Order: sequence, then C-alpha cells, then structure tokens
Amino acid sequence: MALLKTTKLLKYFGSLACVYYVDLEFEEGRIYSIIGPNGAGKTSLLNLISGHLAPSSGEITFRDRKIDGLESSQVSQLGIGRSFQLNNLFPALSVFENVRLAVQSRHPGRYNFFSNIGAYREVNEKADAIVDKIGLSPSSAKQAQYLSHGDKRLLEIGIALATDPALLLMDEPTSGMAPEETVMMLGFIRKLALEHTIIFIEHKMNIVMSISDQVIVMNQGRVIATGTPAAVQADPEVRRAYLGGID
Amino acid sequence: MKSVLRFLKDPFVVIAMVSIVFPFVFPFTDLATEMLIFGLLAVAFNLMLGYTGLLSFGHAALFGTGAYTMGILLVRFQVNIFLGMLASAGMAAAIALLIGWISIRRHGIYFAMLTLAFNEVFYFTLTQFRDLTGGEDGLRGIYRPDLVAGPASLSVQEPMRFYFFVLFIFLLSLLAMRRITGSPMGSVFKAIRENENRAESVGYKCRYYKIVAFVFSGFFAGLAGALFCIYIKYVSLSFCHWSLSGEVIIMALLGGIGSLYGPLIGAALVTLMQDILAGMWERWLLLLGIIFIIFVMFFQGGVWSGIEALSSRLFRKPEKKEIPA
Ligand SMILES: Nc1ncnc2c1ncn2[C@@H]1O[C@H](COP(=O)(O)OP(=O)(O)O)[C@@H](O)[C@H]1O
Ligand SMILES: [Mg+2]
Repeated sequence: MALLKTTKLLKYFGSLACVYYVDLEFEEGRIYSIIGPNGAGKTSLLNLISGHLAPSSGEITFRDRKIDGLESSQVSQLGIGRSFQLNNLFPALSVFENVRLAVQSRHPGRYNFFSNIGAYREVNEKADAIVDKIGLSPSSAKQAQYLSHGDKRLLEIGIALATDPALLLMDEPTSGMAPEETVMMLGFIRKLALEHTIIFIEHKMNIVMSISDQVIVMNQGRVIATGTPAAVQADPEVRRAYLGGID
Repeated sequence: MKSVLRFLKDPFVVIAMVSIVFPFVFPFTDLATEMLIFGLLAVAFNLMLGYTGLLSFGHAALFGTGAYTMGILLVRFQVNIFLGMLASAGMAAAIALLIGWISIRRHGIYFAMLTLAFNEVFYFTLTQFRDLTGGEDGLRGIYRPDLVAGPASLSVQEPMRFYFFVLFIFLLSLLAMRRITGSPMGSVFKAIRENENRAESVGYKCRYYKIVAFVFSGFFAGLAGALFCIYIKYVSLSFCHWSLSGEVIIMALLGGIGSLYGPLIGAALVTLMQDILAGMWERWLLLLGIIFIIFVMFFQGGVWSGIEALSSRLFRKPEKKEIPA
C-alpha cells in the first residue's frame, strides 16, 4: 500500500496548469526527490499535498484517506510535515520557542491558557532534543531572525520535524547554501530518512542522484519521468528538458 | 536581598505599588480611577494587537456592552455588584465571540474594517432599543451598589474607597491576563502574530485561537465597561462610539504594544491629557493626534520601551525587547 498517492491531480492558475494530471505513488520509508527547472510546478505539487493549495481536480490520499481539500493544519495533524523554500519562521521568537511551538501543536496542553508555558516538561524536553538534532543548541535562545542563512534553513526543517511527521516534505532544503553546507544537509537528510519518509524538492539535478531512492522529474506542470536516479539520468526526455545540464 | 530585588524588578509589582501610592500623591482621585479603568481597557485591547497581531476597531462596542449590561442589571434587577460585573464581562465576551467569529475570516486591514463595521451596527442597534438602553438620552437611574458578599457589605461611595475597589479588580485582571499571555495557548497567540501561515502549517487551527483571543479581550474590555458604569453612574451611546475604539488604539500604541503593561502608560497619559485639555480647548483631539503621529513615526516602541531601555541601563542589562516575548 502506498503511503501517499495522487490521482489525476490538476491545478490551474487562471488558464495556466501548474500541475497537470499528476499520478504518483510514494512508498513508506524511502527518499523521493522531485526535480525540474524553475517554474516546473514542484512547489505547487507540494502545496497541493500539504493543504496550502486546493486542487482544481483530482485526488490525494494519505494512508488511504482522502486529504485533498483539507486545511494545512489538518494535513499537518495527520502526519505530513512541511518545510518551505523561502524561510518561514517565527522571526522574533527564539530558536527554542520556534521548535517548542511545533512540538506543542500535538500536545493537549496547547489549549491550556492558565498554566505557565513551562508546565509541560515533555514538550520542552522534546523541543530541546530537536534543537540539538538540528545542531542549533548553542543558538537556542537566539531570535530566529538573527540566525545565519544556513541555520535558518536548519530551523526551517527543525520546525517540520518537531511535529513528528510520518511523511516529511521539504522544499529546496539546500537553497542558498554554500557547497559544503549542502553536503552536510544531504547527510542530514539521509539520517532523517531512517525515521521519516521523505519527499524533497531540488532544482539542481546532480545533488539528488546520490541520496534518492526514486527521482521524479517535472517540467511545465507534468511529470516527465520517474524512476531510479540512473534510469532518470538516461531518459532522453529528461535530457531534453535539461538541455544537457545533467551531471 | 537578591530575591527582594528581583521581586521589585517585576513590572507587575512596580505597577501595583505605584498605583497603591498614587492616589495619596495625586489629588484627583476620580481621575486616577478613570486611568485604571481605561488602563484595563487598553491592556485588554492589546491582547489582540500586541499579542495576536489583530487590530480591532470594535472595542468600543465591547466596552459599551459591559457598561450597558451593568447599567441595565442595576436599574432593573438591583443586581449584586460582583455578579453584575461578571455578567457584564461575560456578555462582552459573547459579543466578542460573535464579532470574532465573522471578522476573523478576513485578514489585516479587512479584519479591522469588519470590526469597525460591527461597531457601527452595534451602535445603531442600541439606538433602536430605546426601552432598554434609553436611546440617545442614555441610561439613567444607575447607582453605585455596595460591595455585598454574603452577610458582609461595604460602601464604596467615597472616591478613595472606590479607587481601591477598582484597583483590586484591575490588579486581579492584570494578573489573569499575565497568566494568559504566559500560557501555552498564549504562546500560540504570539505564533499567530509572528507568522500565521507557519502556525497553521504546524497544525494550529489559527482561526479558533484568534477567536479565543478576541473573547478574552472582550471579557476584560467588558469588565472595564462595567467598572466605568458604576464609576460614572451613567451609560450613554458615546461609550460605544467608534471614536472610543480609536482612542484605545492610540492609548496602546502610545504606551507601547510590545508588552503587557505598556498600554497602561498610554491610557494614563491620554486620560490625563483629555482631562486637562478637554476643559480648556475643545480641539484637544487635534493635539492628541499630533502627539500620536510623532510617537508612531519616531518612538515606535512607545513610552514603555523607553522605560525599559532606561531601566535596563540602570540595571545594566543591555537587552531590548520590542515585542512581547
Ligand atoms: N499562487 C500562484 N498564483 C499564480 N501562479 C502561480 C502561483 N503559484 C505558482 N504559480 C505559477 O505556477 C508555476 C509553477 O510554480 P512553482 O510550483 O512555484 O514552480 P517550482 O517550484 O517548480 O519552481 C509558475 O509558472 C508560477 O508562476
Ligand atoms: Mg519552488
């Protein structure tokens, strides 16, 4: 049984189809990457899955449950976590608080309006563990807006991780990173794959080849190829779309 | 010694001490009482603007609901003062729920405009229920009841006594709002202020949390209205006029929306100015407007952040907070 499945998924903006009849299946425990040139519809596809966009038609099921049309908060509560291409943090709150808020979103204590925020030790401990996991413990008390770009990218993922997602969607986690930071990020994603099914977007093709189980190539809203990295790399249509830019 | 010092650095303690001493050095007790009441209103308002990032133009309706409820309950049912205040705050919370439920679907300026429209609808509705509200003449026959709890009773006719009664309710409300803003749910309010989209993405149904913030804010705004009703022993439509909503916004911004306590300073200043200037010069709002513009342009954190900067320099702790943490 597929963990996530899209059927004839279609999204129009005006007359522009940014996601065009996309049929995909994602198995549990693997790493998928979605690649394609800018404007191919990768982010839109992720937005449809995570409830940030409603499809024009088609269906999305997660664990055999229909999730298209749900709000992003509901999708999140079902176990789909999401990080964003552009940093999407709580800027004036501390790193710890950014993560703690995400942990708290699963805890019944979130409705408590009269106890001190520190009342739920398990929430704080888990937040600490996640801040540690993303390597930001030394900056735990720092406001998110003052982090370096690389650290912001890590926090971006930390917030998504803190909701304990079975499926983790990451939109260009390496965007804007220096080459050595990118290598570290890829190592980190590999580690995350031990606990989460991962779908991540990347527009540089060479990056995904080493760590993906399956690669999905998009162009102009369509999925033009899926398969193992080697198979996709050899695909003539993919080569055409990238104008020989694969290596 | 150290713990005493820390105790004294708690703004709540400072505010409590200052307001206990205040009427003994400030000879206008009624004015001091008014400052507390509008301070409560401004802090309640700031639960939305400063903490949740929601600009409401409907707080006059909530204040007015509290005042009318208290007035009507007194005139018609000679209600117990505590029960009356609770009912007034509850009624304002219910109206906040209604306004919130509908307005919260829109964001930013559209939200503010919807709350303003509701304020107008509310105002107009009150003019129509003349029997209940007294229409344009206002509600008359309101008296200030004694504090009755079981067999005990205490008169608060005397201004100083009434001041301390108001102070008691004021401090209790301030403590409650402090707990709310420091609670797990309060942290969600701040998350919404910071980035509603992300708060939603990690699983919070922000709409509900915003409505709850509105209801809390309405509760304490209504409580302020009820206190004002028994302070001035009169309720008129002007309590619900949108211009009061505007004044509350000015109070909060002038004092500083970046903390729980900032709006208190703004409320005190505006109330004082109004009292001094309104008698001398009927265009005093012009002056208030100019001061307001200067503050918004040059002192964005309001008076409170100036005080914080000063005190952190005194205590040599170089940390500046612009936003409620
Ligand atoms: N909210 C929107 N409104 C209108 N057009 C959009 C919107 N979001 C994306 N698009 C368009 O859809 C296409 C796909 O965009 P996107 O999914 O962001 O591509 P990618 O992530 O692959 O670079 C682009 O042409 C973009 O301009
Ligand atoms: Mg994109």
